[in-house]
Amino acid sequence: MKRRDFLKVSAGASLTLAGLKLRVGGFFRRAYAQTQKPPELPGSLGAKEIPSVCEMCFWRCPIVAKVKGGKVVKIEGNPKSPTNGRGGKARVCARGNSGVKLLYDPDRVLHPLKRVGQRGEGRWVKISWEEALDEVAENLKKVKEKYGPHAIAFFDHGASAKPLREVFKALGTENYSNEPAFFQCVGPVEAACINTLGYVASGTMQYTDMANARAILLVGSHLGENVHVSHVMDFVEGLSRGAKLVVVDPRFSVAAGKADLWLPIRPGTDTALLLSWINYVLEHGLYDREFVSRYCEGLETLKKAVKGWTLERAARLCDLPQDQIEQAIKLLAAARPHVCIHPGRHSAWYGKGDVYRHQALLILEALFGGIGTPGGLCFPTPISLGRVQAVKEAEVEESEEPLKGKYPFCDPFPGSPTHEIIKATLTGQPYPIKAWGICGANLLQTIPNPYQTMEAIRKLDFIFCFEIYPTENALWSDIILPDTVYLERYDDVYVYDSVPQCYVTVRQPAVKPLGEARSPFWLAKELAKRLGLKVFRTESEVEILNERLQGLGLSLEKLNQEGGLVVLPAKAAYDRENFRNVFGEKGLKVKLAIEDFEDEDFSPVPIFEPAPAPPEGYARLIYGRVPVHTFSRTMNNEWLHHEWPENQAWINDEVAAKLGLKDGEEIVLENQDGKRSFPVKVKVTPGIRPDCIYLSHGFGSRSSKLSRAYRKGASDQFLITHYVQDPFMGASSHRTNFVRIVKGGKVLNLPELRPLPPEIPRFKVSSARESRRATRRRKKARKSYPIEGC
Amino acid sequence: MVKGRDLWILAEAFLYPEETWKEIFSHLFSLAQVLGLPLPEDLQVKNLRELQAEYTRLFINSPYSTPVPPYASVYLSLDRRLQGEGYEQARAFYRQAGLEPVEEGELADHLAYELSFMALLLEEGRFPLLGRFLSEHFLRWYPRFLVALEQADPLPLYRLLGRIVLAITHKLQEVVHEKAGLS
Ligand code: SF4
Repeated sequence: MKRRDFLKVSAGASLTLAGLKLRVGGFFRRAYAQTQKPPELPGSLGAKEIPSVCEMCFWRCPIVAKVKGGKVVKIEGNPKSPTNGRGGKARVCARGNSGVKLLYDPDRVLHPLKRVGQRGEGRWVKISWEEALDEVAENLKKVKEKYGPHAIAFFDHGASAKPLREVFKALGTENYSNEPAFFQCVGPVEAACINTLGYVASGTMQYTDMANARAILLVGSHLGENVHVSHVMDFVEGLSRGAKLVVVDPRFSVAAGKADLWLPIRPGTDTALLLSWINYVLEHGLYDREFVSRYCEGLETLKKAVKGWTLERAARLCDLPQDQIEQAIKLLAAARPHVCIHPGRHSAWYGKGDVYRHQALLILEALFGGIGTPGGLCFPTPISLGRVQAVKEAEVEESEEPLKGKYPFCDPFPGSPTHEIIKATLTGQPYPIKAWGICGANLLQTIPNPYQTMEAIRKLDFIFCFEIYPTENALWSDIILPDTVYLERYDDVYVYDSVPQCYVTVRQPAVKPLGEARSPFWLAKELAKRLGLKVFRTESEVEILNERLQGLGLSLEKLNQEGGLVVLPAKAAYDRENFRNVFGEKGLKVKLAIEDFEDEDFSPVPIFEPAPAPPEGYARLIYGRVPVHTFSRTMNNEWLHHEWPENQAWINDEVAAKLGLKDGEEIVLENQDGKRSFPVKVKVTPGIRPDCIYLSHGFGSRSSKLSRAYRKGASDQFLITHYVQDPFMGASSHRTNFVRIVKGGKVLNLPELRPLPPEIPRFKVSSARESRRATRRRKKARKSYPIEGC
Repeated sequence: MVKGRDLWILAEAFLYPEETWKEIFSHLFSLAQVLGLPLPEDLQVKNLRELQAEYTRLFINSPYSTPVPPYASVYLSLDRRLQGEGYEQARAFYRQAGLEPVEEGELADHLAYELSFMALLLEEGRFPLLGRFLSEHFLRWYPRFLVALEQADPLPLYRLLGRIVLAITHKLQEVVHEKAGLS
């Protein structure tokens, strides 16, 4: 042990200047016997290894953080993991690697901030945690007293939101968790899964056994472009073992590049294609009779409903060659039951018809006998964690007019549909909403019609966010609280309960938080104290983790002795007889026709409701991902920005030739409401239909300050101003917007190269024009952000 | 002749402004005059809040990106990061001097730490170490910091502060050369 003198260094008389006491006087202390540090091994050699869980996206790959001198120097996959670690090698993706860069990014929010300019302006002063917490608590209390508990709303996403969610629940609001994850993404597919299969075969987790599949169907998937390590590894493993692949997508995606058959479908007609396939399978006896008679209900209703859905009809509506449609279904049917009809993930596409589309996908899988089957969809294996006593979960009492009330299948989702919250904030109906909290979700980059969201924020009494980066949320918040990066904190116990093997692991800090960043648990605890709410009975996160791990006879210490991860067998993956659905009932029952839907005046079987086609002169705006970025979160990460700095607008080659557009040329996109993008380069390609324009998501940052991401490419999000809400659970559509091209200031109308069948209506140009006129009127009325949308 | 107290004041001026800001900056004005730096015309600051907002904008957070993070590491590491090479370098110098930085919510390569460190070395007459700190570390990053500061269009008060530090550290280098006989 070195001897140290903890006396502060005396800075001499000069420090007392006209009676001033200088803070810098306490910056150093003497350290005796301090000599040279022993020489270090290069790179990550000799580093301490801390097992944890990645959070560069929500896929949660098990990782090992290598720590040297109190700093994370490298991140690798946890070799013990059966998902991203196979054959002795463990992987993380480019984003997973760049967690180091996020941790040490000088742009991070490291101190509590308070707004001093207008909302949206981004002018702040630094304040103390005391002051920040008091402000948040005071304002929430005030709103609750004046307008009642439901006037408070919490928008959240990801693990770090969990402790804070408990505080909002204890405050009594029914709007305690309005996750864009559900209402902008997986909601419709989850609703279809719960009601058809009785479990969420596709949501945050994907129970798709692609590694063992003999054939795979992907409808509008970005697999390989949105890299989720083990998901992509499963996909590649299946293909390398010879699985056939059918890809239905208006764009030649990365997955399409690997396909045996690519069907470039007319957007918005997927359900027509699926209904014709279901009919074909039934008419030609290509289904698994034994599975259907044993596990399925409603076959007759289904048969009747799909009668008349000939391949010829689908070919015309979907703008696909009939022989290829037939070839595809034969190819899939030949591999039954080991067929993976991928149920999809991001499913908030057109609003109307989204649930039916996913219902149709699940029906097709069931007809092939692919549920609870190797190579099809598998079941989760129940893994019982211990009960947590240290956190008191509040029961929330619903309001008289709950915001989810309009949506009969919204119940399983926590909180309320995001757009219902935004509308209630704008109108005060059915009740006023006056305070928002945000954690882990960039509202303006996620929710359709960001202009409407900004207008709603202007109406609030108070808004705060808990953030890692000073993004749009911070610009619009009154108080900004510095969150920790996942490498600095504990989160929950993570359970993976699918194939090939299950495991349990934890997220735990590799290093101390930088600056004044604080963990979500600490924030929730401090806030609860100030609000007088008894939520947490412990001061320590480890106690909560240990309570959870106890259920498996483990503790954090024991788990760490095992390399931070314990593998368990996936014993329930294909066990149909012992399967228990989300309602606790035993045995698999697949509903080919859903009575509950009928009870609520929906169709019990999927029906085709065409999504309105582009107005003349416009193309549909479609979007996707690039493998090195997560949502809009990572564009400013220097490593990832370097790899993929901007997006391009994909335009069909024939269209480009007609308009005289060349590859690499710069254009601007204008949507049906007159909103324009930043300049973006054209990618001329035969790999997209002439009635679509494609952008990868998250680029084209609107922040005007010095930023790597600023003005790099076009933002799809700021062109998504029109949305339709799914009538089942209230998700908002993202593919209901249309764009045309502006080049050199001149608007170019797109030629219509694929004529529209009369059954498909067009999006009304007139309504779009009216809305533009209305926009101008409103602008004249000196409102800077018009309210638009549905 | 550069005095320790000038460096202490400069260090203090690079911390988040508090009630003492007027006294601190009036010391700086006289320092600027001694150094022969022209005083900008508009040195007016409305109030402490305005100064705090400007400090936050420049050195703590701006939307998306902080224009002028006041940390050596940001300018000395290859990938503009915190706690990189520049940070390690600063700490190695502190170690050599037998000093340990007290990092409470702040990083030891913050400009204010480095200026305080120089003040200590100067007061204790440790010229060879001071000389090396300047040439091998501080003056390798500070000019880059100053360019970023000027580009961020700061309030004249902060522009002046930035220039004073450059002028005084150059002076300091001369002093060191004389005292230590370094070439
Ligand atoms: S897929 Fe990549 S970013 Fe997502 S959790 Fe895994 S390693 Fe991290």
